[in-house]
Amino acid sequence: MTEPPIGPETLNAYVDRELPPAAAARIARRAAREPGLAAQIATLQELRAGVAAIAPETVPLRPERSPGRLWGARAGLAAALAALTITLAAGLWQAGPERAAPADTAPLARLVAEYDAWHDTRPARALPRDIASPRMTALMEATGLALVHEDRIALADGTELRHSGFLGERDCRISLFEMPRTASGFDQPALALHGPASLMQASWTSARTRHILIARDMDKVRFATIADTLREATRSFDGDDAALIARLDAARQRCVG
Amino acid sequence: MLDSVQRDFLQESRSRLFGYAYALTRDSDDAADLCQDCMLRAMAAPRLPAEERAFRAWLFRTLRNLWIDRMRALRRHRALHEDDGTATEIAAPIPEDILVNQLAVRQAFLQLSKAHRDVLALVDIGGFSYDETSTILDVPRGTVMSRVSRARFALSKRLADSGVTPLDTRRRGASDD
Repeated sequence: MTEPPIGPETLNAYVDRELPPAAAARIARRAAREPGLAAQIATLQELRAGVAAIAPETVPLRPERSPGRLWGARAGLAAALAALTITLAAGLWQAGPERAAPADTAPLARLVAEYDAWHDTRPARALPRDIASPRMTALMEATGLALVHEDRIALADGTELRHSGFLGERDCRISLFEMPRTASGFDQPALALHGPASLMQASWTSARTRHILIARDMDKVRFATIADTLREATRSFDGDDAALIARLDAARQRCVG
Repeated sequence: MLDSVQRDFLQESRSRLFGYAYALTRDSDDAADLCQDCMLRAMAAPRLPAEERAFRAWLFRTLRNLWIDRMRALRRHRALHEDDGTATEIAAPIPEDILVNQLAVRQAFLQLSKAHRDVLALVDIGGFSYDETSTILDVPRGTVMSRVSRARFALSKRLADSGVTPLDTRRRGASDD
C-alpha cells in the first residue's frame, strides 16, 4: 500500500530536527526506502546549510568617503549655527548615515568598562591644561566639560590608547579614547554615531589617530554636536575655532543621569 | 553592564548576529551598523538574561526591533508588510532536481521577502529552535513552521527559476546525516 505523502511543513521540521523522535524515525525509515523522499530531504538540508553560510565571514573594510558629504559649511552666526547643528545632529542620529564596521566586541566592551570605572570614581579637580591638547580642552570647556582624568590603556592586542575624561555639571561625563590610526585596521573619516541615550558611542579617524567618544545619559543632540565638532577639529585647523566653540556652546544641555 | 560571561556570549554571537542583520538588511554596511547598535544596547541594558540561549534570543530580538525601528524611521513600514509574502506563497514539495550551490543560494535568498529572510535567518543562521523563533518573532510555533516551509519552497523555486542544473548522480540521494 502506498503511504500518504509527507507534508512540506513536516519535512522541514524533520530537517530542522524539530520532530519528536518517533516521528523523525518514521521519516528516516521511509527515506531509506524512497529515493525521491531522500533527495527532497537532501535538498532541504543543502538549502539549510546554504542559508547558514550566507553571511560574510568577515566584515568588509569601509571605503574612504568624503568627509564633507554630510556636514555643511560653517555658518557665521552662532544662532544659525546652533539651529543647523541641532537639526543636522538629530537627523544624523536617526539615519545613521556613516556607519562603522562593527567594532570588535571585546575592545568596545573594554572601553565602556574603562568609561564606567572612571564614571564611578570620585570626580577630580580639573587637570592642568598641559596634560592634554590645549585646543581639545578648550573646545570641551566651551560645552561645559572640564578635563579631569587622563590615563593610558593597553588593549589585549597591545594597542595603547589615551583616555581623557571630561566632567560637567550634574555629573555629565564623556570619555575620549585616542589610538594610533594604523592600529584600527580600517579608515573611517566620517562620523559614526551609535547607541541609545543610555550609552552612546561615536568614532572617526583623523590623519594619524582613531578617536572614540563614549558617554552615558547625555542629550543625544549634544553628544552628536560634540562628536562632530571634535571630528572637525581633529581633521582641520584654520587658526580660528570661534565657529566650533559657538556650536558647542549652543548645544549645552543638562545630562539626564 | 555586561559581566565577563555575557561578554563571551556576545563575542560568540557576533558572527551569527551579523549574519542575521545581513539577511534582514541585504547590505553589509547596514548590517554592521545594526550589529553595532545592538551590541551597545546590550552593554547599556540594566538586566540581561543569564542563560546563554535566552541571552542570544534577547540579542536577536533586539537587533530585529532596531531594524524595524529603522524601517519605520525611513517610512518603509508599509513596504515591510506589503512585501511580507506569507499570504500568497503556497508551500509545496521541494523540487528534487535543483543544484544547490552556495552562490546561487545567497542570490536567491536575498531576493526573498523580508518575512521569509527573517524566519530562515533565525532558524538557519541564528540556529534557533522553532519555539525560540516564535518567541523572537512573537508568532505561534505553527506560524514559524509554515513560514519556514514556505520560505524554503520560495528559495528552491527561485533557484529552479534561475536555471540551476540538476543534481549530479553522485550527490543524488546523499544525506548529510
